[in-house]
Amino acid sequence: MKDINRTIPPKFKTIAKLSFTKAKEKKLANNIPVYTINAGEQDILKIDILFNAGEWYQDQALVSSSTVQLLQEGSANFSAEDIAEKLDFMGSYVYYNAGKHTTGISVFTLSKYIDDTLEIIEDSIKNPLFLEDNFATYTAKKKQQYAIEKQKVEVIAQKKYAQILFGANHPYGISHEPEDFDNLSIADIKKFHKTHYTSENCKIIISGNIKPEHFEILSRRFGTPFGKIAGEKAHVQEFAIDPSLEKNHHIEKPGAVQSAIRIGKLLVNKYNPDYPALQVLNTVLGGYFGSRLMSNIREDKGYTYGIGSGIVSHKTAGYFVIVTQVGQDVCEQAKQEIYYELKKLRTETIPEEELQTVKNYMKSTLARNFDGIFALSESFKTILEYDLTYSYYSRFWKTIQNITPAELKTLANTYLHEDSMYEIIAGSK
Amino acid sequence: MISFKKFELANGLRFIVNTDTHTPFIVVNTLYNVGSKHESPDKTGFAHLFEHLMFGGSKNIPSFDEPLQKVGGDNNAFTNSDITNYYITVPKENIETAFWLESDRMLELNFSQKSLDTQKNVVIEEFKQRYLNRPYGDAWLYLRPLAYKNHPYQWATIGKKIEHIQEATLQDVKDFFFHHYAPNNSIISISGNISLKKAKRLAQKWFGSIPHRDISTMEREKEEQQTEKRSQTLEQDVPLHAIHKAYHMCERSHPDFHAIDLLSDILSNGKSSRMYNNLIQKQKLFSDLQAFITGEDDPGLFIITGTVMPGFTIEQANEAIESELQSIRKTPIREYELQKVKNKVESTLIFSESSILHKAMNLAKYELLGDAGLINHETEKYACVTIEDIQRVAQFVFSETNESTLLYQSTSQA
Repeated sequence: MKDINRTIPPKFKTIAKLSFTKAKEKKLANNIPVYTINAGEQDILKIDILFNAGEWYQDQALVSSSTVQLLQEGSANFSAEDIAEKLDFMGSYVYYNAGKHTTGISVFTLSKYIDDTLEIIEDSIKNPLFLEDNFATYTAKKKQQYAIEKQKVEVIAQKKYAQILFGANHPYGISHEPEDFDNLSIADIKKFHKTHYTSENCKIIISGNIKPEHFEILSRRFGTPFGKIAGEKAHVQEFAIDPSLEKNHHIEKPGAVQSAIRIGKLLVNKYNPDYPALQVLNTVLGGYFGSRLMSNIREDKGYTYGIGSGIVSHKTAGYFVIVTQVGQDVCEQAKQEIYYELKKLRTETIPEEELQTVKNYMKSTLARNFDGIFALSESFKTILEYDLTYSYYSRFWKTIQNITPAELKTLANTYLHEDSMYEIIAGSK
Repeated sequence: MISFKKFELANGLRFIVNTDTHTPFIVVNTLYNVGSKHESPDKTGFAHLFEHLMFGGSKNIPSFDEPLQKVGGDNNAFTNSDITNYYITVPKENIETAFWLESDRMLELNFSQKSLDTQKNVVIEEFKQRYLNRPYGDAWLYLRPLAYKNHPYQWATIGKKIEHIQEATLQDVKDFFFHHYAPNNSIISISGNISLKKAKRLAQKWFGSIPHRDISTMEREKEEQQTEKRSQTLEQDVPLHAIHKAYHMCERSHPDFHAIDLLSDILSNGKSSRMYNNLIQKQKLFSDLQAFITGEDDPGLFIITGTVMPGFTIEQANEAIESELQSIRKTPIREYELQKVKNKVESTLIFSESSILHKAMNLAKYELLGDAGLINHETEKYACVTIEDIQRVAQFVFSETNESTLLYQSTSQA
């Protein structure tokens, strides 16, 4: 065998283009749009039933998340025990998730059980009972789970951070406290369900190895109008963002051996043309394992187990955030390094080679976001929530391809000046 | 059903290949047969610390991550008490980069004091983050030594204490590498868009010249049969009382393993499970309650953990758990109940086959247990478990003298 030279990397190719299976839109008789993504060989299906029923639409803390969670606690034809028994027996998994705008019931089922599974889901969406006893058990239990979470410095810091950026009354800034469960009433939940869980307010995504009969089953289960009250529409609220005037915040957690750090600011969301380029800039800074924050603060200094940054897009606003937990004794040093890296993005041009690595990494990550039925469905759900089309991803791809170090430096100066950042520390001084 | 082919190089390195052309990616999963159970009692946390060092550059390549990210690859690793497992996902066009990088760090690491010093700090921060700075985070640091008196499972993978990590020297690191990191102590499984022929060619090219090494085969102490009920109480400022219970059970390859796994599902997998129904929903004793097995290769543990709702004493809560366990020991479960947990297992296995990463990890894990092909017989083995099996295993696992209980007495709930 001839000798190999291990010091020379093998030749490589960059991914030439993004290709994937697209969702096709169909309509049920009641006008619910159904997006089908036909992919995969296993006889498994994922069905996402989505409502505009997230926290944006609630009048009171915890109403949105409690409503969707309580759907599994009993309906006209199935008791809470029946629902759990039957879903478990079929090996079907259902996840109930309340987001900022969208609430989703995500169903994972073997294809052979789609009808039996959806029979239960249909009844729990259309005819939930919200019984007093189940409600009381749920809130008491959740209250304690929140109380445990509240002890963690990262949870303390994240809550405070959201509140400081958006204001305590804004849906993106609201902080759900254990005590809020005491003010929750079953009447609020019932009312919220009635106004938001309607066929007019519903979209469905189905992905997997889809056969024609699966669509027929969906039509039978969800194709007639439900929950609709003629003429009545859920009122859409407007909220003003009300950021804190104070930039630096410390929340004391006595005895904490690590401090949680959040540094960031309000930023544009997916609708802004600069958003994809800002994602590239963010990846350089803290968006992957080889990022500057990781290389400096973890891999060089050893101040933390992990550090990262992200741009979070909500439907009406976005924000930028650097997230880490560091040793209590090195918190000041870690902060200094973070600001150093932010400033460097603005004052120095990113070397070509580093940017090339980031570009290749991001292209591959984007391609992975379309690999497999679950990934395909998640990526589609994202653009659906924002009323965007797949062209959003091709624009994203193009930006990764074409953006230059000079443009990124300009962006850093426009958007990420270190003096414009909020800083939240939860820990022991 | 996962189809695969196996081959072995002259140096003893085993490869398993699952070709899946539905994806443009390939996963390369490298398992080393070394975990925290291979550590000596005065140098714990080493296998895991070592995992961190594997990213600090190798003999011919100064950085592991940078060249991989440059070709669009992504990677990570984990260590547990039995194994250290590294995995790479890479676009199929750039598969050779994965072979190049993974083979060079198997050949030899770039042993650097700087990298060691930094990673010691990183691991100490990990220790703080995951074990010290959150309520109940230290449970495993107490529960393992309570349950094990001889076997190395008595310490957590992160290590017994921070001092062990602080004391690690570069010589320790070198010794550890040459005693455990070797082609003949590793299994590489590949899943994704690659042919067997190509995998063979690349395997020979990049791994063929790595020398076979003598592996440290220190005999592990066997855990002696526990003969008394054990208990320890911690008084801490945690929000709620909490209970952690551990029962000794069989090793992964024992014929009773599947029955005990189903036993844990009957007790706590899903909202229709016994403990969820009775203790959370009906009696409202717990805000959270889980039963699971550690599933380790040597005789492992059956664990029950719960946080107690305010208004109940820790004794009341503990008795309620024990009464559930007594009931499953005394009364045979219903056929329906057994079928339900078997169906769940089957469904979980089918879903896991839709991911090349899961497939690759499972193939290597089962090969270590004896044969990668075992993965395709798991459903069958679960299907064979009978009502009598469940009762029989419940009777010996949940016997009183097999129990270790760790109690968190909340000072704020007192």
